[in-house]
Amino acid sequence: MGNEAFLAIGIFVFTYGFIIAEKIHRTIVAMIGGALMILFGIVSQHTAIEHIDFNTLGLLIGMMIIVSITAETGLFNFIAILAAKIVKGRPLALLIVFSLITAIGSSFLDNVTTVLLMVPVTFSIARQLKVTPIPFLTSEILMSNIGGTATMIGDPPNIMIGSSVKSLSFMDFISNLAPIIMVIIVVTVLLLLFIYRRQLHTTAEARARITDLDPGSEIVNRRLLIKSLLVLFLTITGFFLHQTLGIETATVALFGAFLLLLLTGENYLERALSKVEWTTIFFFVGLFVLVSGLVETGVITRFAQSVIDLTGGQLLPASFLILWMSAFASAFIDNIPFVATMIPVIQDMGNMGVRNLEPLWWSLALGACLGGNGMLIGASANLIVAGLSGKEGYPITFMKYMKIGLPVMILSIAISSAYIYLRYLL
Amino acid sequence: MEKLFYMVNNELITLTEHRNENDFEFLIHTKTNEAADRLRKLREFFDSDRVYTDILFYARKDHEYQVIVRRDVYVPFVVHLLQLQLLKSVEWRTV
Repeated sequence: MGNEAFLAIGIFVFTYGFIIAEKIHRTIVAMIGGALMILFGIVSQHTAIEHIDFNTLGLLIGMMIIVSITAETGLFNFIAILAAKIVKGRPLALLIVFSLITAIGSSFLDNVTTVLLMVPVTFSIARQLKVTPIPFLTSEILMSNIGGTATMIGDPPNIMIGSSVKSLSFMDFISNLAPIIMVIIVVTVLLLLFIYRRQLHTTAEARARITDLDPGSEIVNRRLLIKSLLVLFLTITGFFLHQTLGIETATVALFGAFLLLLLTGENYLERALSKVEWTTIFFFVGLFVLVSGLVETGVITRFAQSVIDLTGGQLLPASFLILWMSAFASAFIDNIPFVATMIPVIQDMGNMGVRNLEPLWWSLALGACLGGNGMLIGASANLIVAGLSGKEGYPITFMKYMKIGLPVMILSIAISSAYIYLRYLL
Repeated sequence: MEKLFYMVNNELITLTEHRNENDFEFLIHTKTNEAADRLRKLREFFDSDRVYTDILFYARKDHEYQVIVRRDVYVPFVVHLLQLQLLKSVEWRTV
């Protein structure tokens, strides 16, 4: 490796360190790191732009617009309150249905958006039942990360993998990840029911107040709801068919978003665009440029060679290494930069003769997404729920969360290991 | 000691207030669609601030709403009811 490679590693480690330290906003750090790669002549601006995955960015922006408009209809409150009524306000049953709603929601929506939609109604229902909201909120953190793993659009690592690996379709993600995610959901919910069985009791009077609620009143704009549901349906159908139609997922999401804006009218345009999380979008841009420096200087190829040397090029140890390493890395650091680094490593392993990369991609997806459950700092959704909970007087501390999150993460990665072995490596 | 008194706009709503240990519980029955719309606006206002447990709204059957109001936001809540003309008057009285 030449001087440029060492300089690229230096900038990468320096930037990564600042991202982990969280003293400066991660977007600012990533963009400065990316800019340094260009300023020091490691990559040209033209090459840097070539490395930015616009499919990932387009998919995120499109879905953020659709969800921000749909959220204004009251649909998510309606679903949660209807579910609470159906289970007649029984707290343990409520823990199951709120977990399932969060998991299903996260598999099609961004995790942070899903928890932001679930948290208010959780506080509301818990107050009515006079029970602590912490068990529900903890389960929502866990389920947002688990559910998001099931589809290509559920979690940024999957979006990035799906965008980079053209042979993997939306359906491939579902058929390979959803079955094991369903198993992990069942095991996690059973574990949570066991842990919280003594805390979740309420009175018959409180339960009666839940059955008295009118979920229909939660829908505040029926016309907008119909338009949003129509576009959501078309968009998700588009995701299922994107490979058959020969179009990228970003095209589907952006078409859906602007079709919805066409149907809703211009007055929603400014508001919807302002709700796009531009900090996340620019974080991705910075990371893609940052990693481009490592790719162009041969650092990634060298790292891929080391993985092959370490595992002897065998799929079993390589898959397990990626799965467990991704999980523990994602428990402590943001999984987006980690996956941005690992994608070219796996691609290079393919270039070096490792034939069947599929188990490695699924190991990366499962490890990076499920690993976010290990620690409170493992995923943005975790920190957002803990922050909101603390602000409302129900603190979820680092240690309190870890006592549940870490065992759930280890259990889910152990289940994933067995799945990877039985399905792809046996 | 100063206490807040208010007069309900009986043409639009009926209102009962119950004081709990840490909060106040209101039962509001809306008599017209206009009153329901105004109450919805009130909810939108308090829901938009990302403080989730200060005021909790529950829609019930027959145009009835239960509102649980934390003590520290009791006055802002009552003032907003006045602003939307669901109350006719509000005044501080020494008791």
